[in-house]
Amino acid sequence: MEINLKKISDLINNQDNIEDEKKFKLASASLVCSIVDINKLNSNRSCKLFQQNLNLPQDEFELIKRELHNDALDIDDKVSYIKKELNNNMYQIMEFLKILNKFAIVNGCTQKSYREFELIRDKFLREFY
Amino acid sequence: MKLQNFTILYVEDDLTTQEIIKDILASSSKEVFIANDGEEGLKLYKEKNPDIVLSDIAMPNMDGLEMSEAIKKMNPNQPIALFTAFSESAFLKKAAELGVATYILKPLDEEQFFNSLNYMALELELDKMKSE
Repeated sequence: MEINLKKISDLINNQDNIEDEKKFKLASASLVCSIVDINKLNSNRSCKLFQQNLNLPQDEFELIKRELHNDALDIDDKVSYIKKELNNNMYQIMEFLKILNKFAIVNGCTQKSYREFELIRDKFLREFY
Repeated sequence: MKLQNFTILYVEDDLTTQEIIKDILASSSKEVFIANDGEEGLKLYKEKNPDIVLSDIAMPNMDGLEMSEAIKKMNPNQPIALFTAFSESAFLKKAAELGVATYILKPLDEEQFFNSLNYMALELELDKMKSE
């Protein structure tokens, strides 16, 4: 499967209005980790995808992983923050969701990971349906 | 609803399921084409060139995966969704490799089904916008 990498980092890099890059990366990583088990990130392809899509060098990746363990995951809060940072732009939201979708299916789809992706997807897009 | 702008090919060998989903799709899309297996689905795909393909996986003659592979060879960007109970892990891994990115959980949850269809419709609209 062709993986179109760096999409999220491109979104970050092209967005002058993203106030806090680290906060955006952490929110994105939180959503990814609700789809993919963070404890498996070191041992499978998701790890590489995670780092490349979020433009995370190894040291920053380890730091964010530690923060994710401490960060209480409120999906509604993360979705609403990311939507705001993407100016509620449907095109950019769809690009973001394509990346999340790849995390859901990259190691073969499981019901749990795909359901979680759907939950997040619909929170982002309900107003556009 | 955006879905009403798009045609759908629906491939399913179970006639009871086919009847139920056909009715749902007929009322919400531009046109629905029905096939009973992958072989018939592929033939209909070539004839009708639908916007969206929905298919079961396990079917006689040609399964949903073989059909998806043939379709993706003709049109790599073709949106395809597969119905699955997520018990066919080898099939799903292969499907992901083919670029099938949308899955519809069996047994069907109608709201979730519509959300997935609407997501595909949004992708198609954005692709059209990008190419214009």
